[in-house]
Amino acid sequence: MHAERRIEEILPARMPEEILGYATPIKAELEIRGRLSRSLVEEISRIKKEPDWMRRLRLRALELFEKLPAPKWLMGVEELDLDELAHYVKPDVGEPASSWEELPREIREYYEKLGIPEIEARLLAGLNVQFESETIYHKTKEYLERKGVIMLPMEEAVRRYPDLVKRYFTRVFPASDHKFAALHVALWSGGVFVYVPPGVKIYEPLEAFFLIGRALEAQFEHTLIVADEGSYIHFIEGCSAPMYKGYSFHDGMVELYAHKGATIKFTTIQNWSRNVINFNNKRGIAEEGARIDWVEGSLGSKVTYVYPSTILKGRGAQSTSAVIQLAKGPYIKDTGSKMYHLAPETRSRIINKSISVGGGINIYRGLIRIPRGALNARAHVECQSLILDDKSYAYTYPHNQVEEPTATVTHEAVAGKIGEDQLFYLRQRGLNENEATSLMVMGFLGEILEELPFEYATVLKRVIEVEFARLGGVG
Amino acid sequence: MAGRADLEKLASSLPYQRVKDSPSVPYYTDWKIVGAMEDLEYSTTEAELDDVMAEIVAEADVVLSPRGVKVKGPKRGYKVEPIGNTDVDWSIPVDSKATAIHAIRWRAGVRVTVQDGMEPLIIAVVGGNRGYTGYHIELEATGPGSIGLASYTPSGSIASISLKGRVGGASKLALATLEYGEGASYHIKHVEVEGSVDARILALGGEMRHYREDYILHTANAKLSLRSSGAASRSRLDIITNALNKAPETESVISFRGIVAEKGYLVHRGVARVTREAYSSKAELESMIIELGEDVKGYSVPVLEVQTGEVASARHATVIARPSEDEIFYLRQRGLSEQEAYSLITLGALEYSGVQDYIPVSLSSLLSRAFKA
Repeated sequence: MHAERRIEEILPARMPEEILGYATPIKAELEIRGRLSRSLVEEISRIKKEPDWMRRLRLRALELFEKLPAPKWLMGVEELDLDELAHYVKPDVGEPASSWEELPREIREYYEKLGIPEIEARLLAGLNVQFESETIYHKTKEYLERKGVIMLPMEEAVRRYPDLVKRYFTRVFPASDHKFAALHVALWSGGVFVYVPPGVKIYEPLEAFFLIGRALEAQFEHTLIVADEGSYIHFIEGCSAPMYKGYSFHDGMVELYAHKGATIKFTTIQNWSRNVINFNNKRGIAEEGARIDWVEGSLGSKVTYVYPSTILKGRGAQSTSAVIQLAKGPYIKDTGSKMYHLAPETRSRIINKSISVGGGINIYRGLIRIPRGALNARAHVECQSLILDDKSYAYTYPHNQVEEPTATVTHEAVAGKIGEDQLFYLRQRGLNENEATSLMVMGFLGEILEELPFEYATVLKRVIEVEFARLGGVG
Repeated sequence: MAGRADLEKLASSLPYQRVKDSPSVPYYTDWKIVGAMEDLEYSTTEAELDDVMAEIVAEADVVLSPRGVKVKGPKRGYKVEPIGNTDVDWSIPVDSKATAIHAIRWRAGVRVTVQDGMEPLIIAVVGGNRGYTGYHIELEATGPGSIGLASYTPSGSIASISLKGRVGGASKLALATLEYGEGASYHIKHVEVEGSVDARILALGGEMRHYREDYILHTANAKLSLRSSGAASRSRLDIITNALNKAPETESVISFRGIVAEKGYLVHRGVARVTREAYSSKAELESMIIELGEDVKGYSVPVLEVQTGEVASARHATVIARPSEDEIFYLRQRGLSEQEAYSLITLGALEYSGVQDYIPVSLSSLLSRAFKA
């Protein structure tokens, strides 16, 4: 009961995008907007006091951005005009705070509405909070330092550990991959660097929370996590935005590197407001015996393009991707997972569960690639789509590419509504239609909710209930 | 409908494929090979037939070849009429340069009306000795019947084949297609279904074979059952089986069994789409690719597009794997050598399509041709 009360306090709003209410005008210290150019990119690099290699990396990425073609299959991004966006916004808060009281009240209130300080105190070993383009709060528990774990705002890591960062930065997800990856590398700002030394296992999660506070702003945070041999880390990424008129643009990047025998669990709770066009570039490399697990609750945004991918590079590497995606209203979720099995005995499993309602469009694009030499590789993909009315869509576009005869790939997908028999069964046992539907939806998502820490699973469950309450379908 | 001028414009403006298939394999079809049909001279000499095709031609009711159309005589329940390129208003959707080129260049064709056929109408399509040949079939089914279409493209040649069909509400049509040969081919079928279609496909790889069948179920209760088999060994096959459920209570069930062996390249793609109007419909797509030997490429792309929650069933499933050790063990315990066990599994996959029910073909002869290496 106590937990339920807490959730009600955390989520008093009827709709998730209403949690933060309407945007509060917050003064920026500095804003860079306008047409993309070398001088604009150099200006961002100069503000961040970056080493020359990073400045050159940005400029090369800008050249790639200009050369690479725009993807032909994008939907829902017609209003995106990069020239009108603020590419860098430095909030007027000074250096990152290490206590919430140091932050201006109007900014602090956003995070309090989301229950972030509460969650930090109860659950996290470290928290990085980004507002607009910069970290505004950063705090880690002391024992992390004692164990040699590095968790720093990305800019600070570039300055303090240049060799370590340079070894991995954009090596997992190169800027040349596609136009929006190149754009990200040219303009990145914010994000977190985490390094876990060999054999160190951190079971309390670390978290980064990203918030976009205004329209016509772009956010390009870069998260890089390196787990050295035999280590363990669980990282949580949260995203949110208040409501405002117009749109904003998010083009983040996550790079994970799991060395031999290491495990990285990366959890995302994405709850952007309906104003955000969301691109996220996520990729991990798993070496011998390493494991990367992606868990994603994709709830908000106007349109989302995100495809968590793992390159299984070493023998016996494993990866799972468990995604819940919710498209309610005339919004688009274009997501999916990709697994590249480049070594023998590698294993992957993808579970994708989507719910479409009120004209929502859920798209799954997946890739399983097993080239020759990946002996006895195994991959399994499951896509399950619930379509709760007659005007919503679910599309599944999987590519299974096997070039190794000893490999096995299995894939199954199903789309449809909740079975009338199932609803009838539950109603016969005294549940009303809403309760029965709610129970079915929660059961549908249960397998993935189990992957989340309790606090997040409860929040996500409540968010989904709130999402569907207005339709009389769930909750 | 596209006129000649429209087609010429599309042939010069369209790419072979508008969007790449995937980041790792940009195009499942090697368009450099298939696209050669744009420039190659039209062949006027018939290919030398192998034993399998010679037998089919001997039994065939209609033969399309570089020399034109030969209709052996009237067949009860069917009406067959030779047609040329200028006799047809092109109505297959043109979404690729390859379709536009084919629409412009095909020469020999027939218009087939199925009224009430008891025996299958067998149509043999023979490629040229070398160079390019193009064929087109217009099919109108108003009553029950069955068509067996066998196509052979020999080494060094390329053929394009199209079929535009309409299967009326009173028709229950079986449409079986066998396509093989060492050459390249571009094969498209576009069939509108009001009644019921039992489609069968057996396609073996060639230099590069792009084979596509689209069924549009646009009247309530229309039904499609499509069973297909494919094999590629030292050859390439991209087989695409699509069903579009556009009306209420329609039903499409597509299944594929494929074998890819020794330097083979086999792709099975399929789209099962249920539109918003197609409530209470069923759309299922199932694909199995068995890998034998070394250096094989087996790709499967089963696409599901569902535009309403009011579906009776919408699902797909796919597997790409070696034969299970249990299967091989079972067969070896019954006295088969390992090689014989693999052959039996392969034959089983080819037989799955059931084209042999409509086309006089020896599957074991085909098997030995397909896997002669």
